Amino acid sequence: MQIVKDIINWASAPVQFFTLSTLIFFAMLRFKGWVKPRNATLILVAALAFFFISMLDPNFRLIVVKADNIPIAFMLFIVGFFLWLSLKQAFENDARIARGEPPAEAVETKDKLMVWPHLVYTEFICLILLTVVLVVWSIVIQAPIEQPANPTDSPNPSKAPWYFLGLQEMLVYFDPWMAGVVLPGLIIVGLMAIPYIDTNPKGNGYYTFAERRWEIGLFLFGFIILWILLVVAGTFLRGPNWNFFGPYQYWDVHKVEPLVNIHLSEIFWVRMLHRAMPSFWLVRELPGLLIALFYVVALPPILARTLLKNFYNKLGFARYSVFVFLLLMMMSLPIKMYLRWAFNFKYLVNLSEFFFNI
Amino acid sequence: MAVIHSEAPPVHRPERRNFWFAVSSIALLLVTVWMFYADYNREWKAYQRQFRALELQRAAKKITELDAQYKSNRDLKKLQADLDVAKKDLSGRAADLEKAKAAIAESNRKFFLAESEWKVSKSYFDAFKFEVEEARKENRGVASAEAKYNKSKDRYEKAVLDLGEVNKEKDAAAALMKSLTGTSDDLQRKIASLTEQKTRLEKKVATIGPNAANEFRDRPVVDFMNPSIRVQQVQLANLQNDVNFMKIPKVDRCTTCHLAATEKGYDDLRQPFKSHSNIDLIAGATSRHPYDQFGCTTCHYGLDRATYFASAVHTPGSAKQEEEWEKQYHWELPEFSDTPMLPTVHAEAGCLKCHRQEVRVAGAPRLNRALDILEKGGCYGCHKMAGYESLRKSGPDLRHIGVKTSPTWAAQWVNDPRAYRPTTWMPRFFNLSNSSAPGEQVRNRVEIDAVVTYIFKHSAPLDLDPIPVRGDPGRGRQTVSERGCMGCHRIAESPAQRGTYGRDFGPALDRVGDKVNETWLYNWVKNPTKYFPESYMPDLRLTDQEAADVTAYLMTLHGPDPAPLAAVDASVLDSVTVEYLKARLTDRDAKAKMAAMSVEEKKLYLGDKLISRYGCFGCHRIEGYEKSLPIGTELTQEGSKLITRLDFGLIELEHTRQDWFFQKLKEPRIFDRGKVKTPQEKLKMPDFGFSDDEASHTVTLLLGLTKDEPLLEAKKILDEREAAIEEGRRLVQHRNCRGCHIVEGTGGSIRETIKDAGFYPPNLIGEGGKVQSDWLFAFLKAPAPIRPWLSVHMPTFGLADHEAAAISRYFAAVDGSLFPFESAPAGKLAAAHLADGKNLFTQFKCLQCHVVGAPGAQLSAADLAPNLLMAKTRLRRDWILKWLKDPQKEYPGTRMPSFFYSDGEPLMEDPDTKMLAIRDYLLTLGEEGGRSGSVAASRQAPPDKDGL
Repeated sequence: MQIVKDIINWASAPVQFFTLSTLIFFAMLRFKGWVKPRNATLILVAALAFFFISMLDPNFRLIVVKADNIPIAFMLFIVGFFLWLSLKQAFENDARIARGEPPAEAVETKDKLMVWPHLVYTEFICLILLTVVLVVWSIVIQAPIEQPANPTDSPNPSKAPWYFLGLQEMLVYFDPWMAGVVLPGLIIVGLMAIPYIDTNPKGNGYYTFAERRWEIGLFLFGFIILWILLVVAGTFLRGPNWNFFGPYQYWDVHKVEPLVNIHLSEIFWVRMLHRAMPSFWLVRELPGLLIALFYVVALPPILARTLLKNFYNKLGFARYSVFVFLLLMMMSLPIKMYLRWAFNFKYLVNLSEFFFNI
Repeated sequence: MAVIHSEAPPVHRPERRNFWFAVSSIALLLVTVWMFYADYNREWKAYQRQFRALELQRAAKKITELDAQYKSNRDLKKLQADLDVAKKDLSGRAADLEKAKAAIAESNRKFFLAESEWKVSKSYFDAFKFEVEEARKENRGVASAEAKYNKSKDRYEKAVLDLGEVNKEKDAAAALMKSLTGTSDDLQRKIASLTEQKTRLEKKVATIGPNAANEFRDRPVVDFMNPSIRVQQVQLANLQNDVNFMKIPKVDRCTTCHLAATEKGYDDLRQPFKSHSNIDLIAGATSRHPYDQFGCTTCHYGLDRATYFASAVHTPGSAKQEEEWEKQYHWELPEFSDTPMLPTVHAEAGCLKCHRQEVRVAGAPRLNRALDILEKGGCYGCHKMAGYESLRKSGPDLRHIGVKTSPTWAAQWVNDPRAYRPTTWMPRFFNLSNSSAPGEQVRNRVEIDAVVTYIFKHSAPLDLDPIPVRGDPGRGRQTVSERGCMGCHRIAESPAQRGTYGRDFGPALDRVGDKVNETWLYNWVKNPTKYFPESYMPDLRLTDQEAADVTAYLMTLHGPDPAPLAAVDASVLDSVTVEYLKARLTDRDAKAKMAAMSVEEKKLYLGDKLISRYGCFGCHRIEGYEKSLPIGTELTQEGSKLITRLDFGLIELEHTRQDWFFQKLKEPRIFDRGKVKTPQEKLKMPDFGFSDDEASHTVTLLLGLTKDEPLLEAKKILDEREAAIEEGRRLVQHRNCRGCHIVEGTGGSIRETIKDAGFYPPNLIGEGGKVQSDWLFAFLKAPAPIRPWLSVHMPTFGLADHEAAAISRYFAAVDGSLFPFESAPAGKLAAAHLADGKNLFTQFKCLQCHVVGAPGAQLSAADLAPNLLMAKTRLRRDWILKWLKDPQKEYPGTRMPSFFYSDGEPLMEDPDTKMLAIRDYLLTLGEEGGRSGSVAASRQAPPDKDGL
């Protein structure tokens, strides 16, 4: 049993966790057999088994039973369910379309029902069921109210509400400005921009994956991997001092991990050129600034001519520019994460004088 | 309109929804019922129901008991018999009764009518009076207004008269009735007063027992309206909870479950229904800390507003109780409480925040002992504590140590104080749990040597007088055992527990011959403050010979020679010196500097660094460290310290304050176990060798040092008299008066070394009321014999004027006597009166015991009494009268006979005048004598022409 726990603890370490999850994610979109009800049920049962057997471990139980974390446990199963439901219908429609049939929704929309009473009735039943769930929850589990906050006693770890844990995880890799303001802002801007840059007419009113591969793939990557997964990591795998702890490890406040971060300027000037760091910030950060500029200014046209040629042709210049900018910003997160894990790399551009780093 | 494709999947068909609606509705119903059930079944409601059942049981039992009592009560039986007779008598006069009742009914009828008429007529009268005033003011319609007014006035006056008449009639009717039923009413009242207890209980049973209202009001669902099972709370505006960003009044809800805590008589029940212990001091309605003003959490801590066992943060008192609670209540160590409830044994910690100004907190023996330990142990020397900054350092002055003892002895001492003196308060610094490995022992030896070298090098020379005569140890031994040394010291006794005051005030003198230098000891015994200016050791006014004898005797006290310490390893001395030098210099420079130092220079350098590290100056005065600050953690608010700030290290302990404090006190360095630390990073608190008892008491004190600051209204603020008493108590404590005397009922430790009770130092009961304040002041400054037959001498304490005055004021305050001045009446007294006094004086043979000069051989020490020539300047005038009237009351156990009264009954004719005469005669004695230089001398009445 301990070996299994050790393996899982190892697999939960940031590098492995992120890499394995991404691979599983792509596999999930590539190998479609898993959506079949029987397979999906097996996956559900396995997940429940893992969950409940893990509850035997006291450290795991401490995290999951914490009243604040109970919604997250629910959320995981709910997200999984809806992901399965939508992808199942998408893959089924893809199969039907491949066979030349119309999608399932086209058949279904022939049926008509009145909102009143039928939809409202269904909604009412959902209302009652939700009320029942909430009442049971409130009777059985105490509200997680602690004592009045003590400004001299910050809790360790100090965690953001669960829906922001992804952003708090980003703080490990990015400057607070970037992780807290710029990137979240771009998330919102990006979500708002989707209707304007997504010109693919397919998938209107019916689920499909094959016809909207990029759109769905990018969105799900951003949502499942870069948001939900990081929330899970922030809840279960980050402990005191924001150190990593496997799900079965004790949250030891005194754990010390060697984490020295290096900036690009140091790598360039000190390690590669064996010189002292220049004192003037512009000179010092020039390599980083150039790379950043390249990433944002030069890379889009390069991609337009190579990897993203189809996109450029489909979207036109304006839409493509917006799209590629947002895409590059989104990808900067995994890129930064890997740079950090591989090279202890922190800032591309280290402008602490202006409290702004990239 | 619904159009469903025939092949549509089932989820689109409506029929299934009815099924799910039914299921979910039933689920909602069940869950709602569950909700009401859960509310009805709250933990505290169950307790209240339980308690109610218990109360009914107890009441029923008590009623049965009372019934049995009443049956055998003869008075009651007689009254009941009389009542029966009276009732029978009354029944025979039924006609009269009827007449009386009719009279009452008629008079009542008339009264109602008359009263109603009176009310109406009065209202008109008042109204028309107003109108007349208005009319006259405006000079309009005066005549008609006046007419109306007059008419109404007549009517009103008539109504008043009528009412008076009717009232008289009513009274007459009532009197008539009373004449008939008066006896039986009286008897009934008497019976009711005898059976009052039972009536009360029956009423209680009726109120809380099952009755129509109770059946309804506590039922589930309807119990929102006016339940009798409800949360009991008390709001305390003067006591506040600090919730970090503001202070809110406490709202204690403890009595929701602890229903009998504030009532007497429930000691036999189990918690939560037990009465509070010591209920007359705490929590009782008539106690000094009534529940409705103090609540519970101000002493016991815990969450005041909670109504559940868990959320109130109850803390188990023992491991066994913890197990029980884990089983019964699923109790867990609370994670989010900065103020968990204190284990009951530490409840006295709560006293400290209001009773800080008192030397001894009445009713808090643990706390008091802990405060003593704090002062003797000198915790405040290393740990800053508010209120203790000006207290003298607890250890002896080391500025002249070189003339007292040798470095060899000092090194042995520093290495292990308790090996030399097991009862010492000096803690052990070296070879503790984090520094006992062999390599560390060598280092410790080097450190000890360095510290001792430094202290002896900086010891200033002192001019000591050589011993002038030869001392005789035998005589010295007698002097030591009789003169009073045993009031503060022990020799060759091993008390079970290290003490703080009484005979444990001064160090045990076993083995003193091993430690000190003879000349020093002679000088010390003659005049302690020459060597140690702040010493509490007084001057016993020994002659040179006596001092020499004592010295000779004490120098014979030896113990087994300790194993000699290892030699100082020079290479380790070097390496440690370099280690400290590296704090300021580079490795190379440090080594160079060290190489340039001589051995003594290295030791002195290291000694200085180590004294700074270990904080020796916290308890000892050492030259050069006068301005050094305490080295330890500040303890002023240690009881509020967050548990996350206490370093539990790798030790398996429950994460509570009391567990950490206890462990720290018992073995301070334990938290280094398992840690990798350089020598300078290691913990440095020394080991005091606390027993479990001492440590536990000290934990109580630490838990009481909180940041709670009750409002002034809630605190115990001392008034002037109380402040004087506390200041005196403080001085009495610090000078260890109780080593010899009984003060305020406790003390007199020296008595265990004196065989004959007649030789005890006096009990100071009533001292303030007995002696004149200025006499006491002068006596304290310069004692002179009052009872020359006592071998124990009152020492000269070297008190400052304000200290002696404070003690004098203290005694006066205790007895409520005047301080500092009391007048003597002017004018002369009748000669006959004084002659009477003189005759009585001779008649009662006062001088037989109250000797003037040498005592007669036939008297035993117990019979001797103070010289009466001192009375004039020493005793208070009215006290002498009290004393003559009832000596046993003033000084229980005295041999002074009661001449005048016995048990309040006079033994002769006109005792009071006689007592006055004796008193006045007494006060004419000793005109020439008395205290020399005392203020009293100037208060003497001017010598009379008659020369009396």
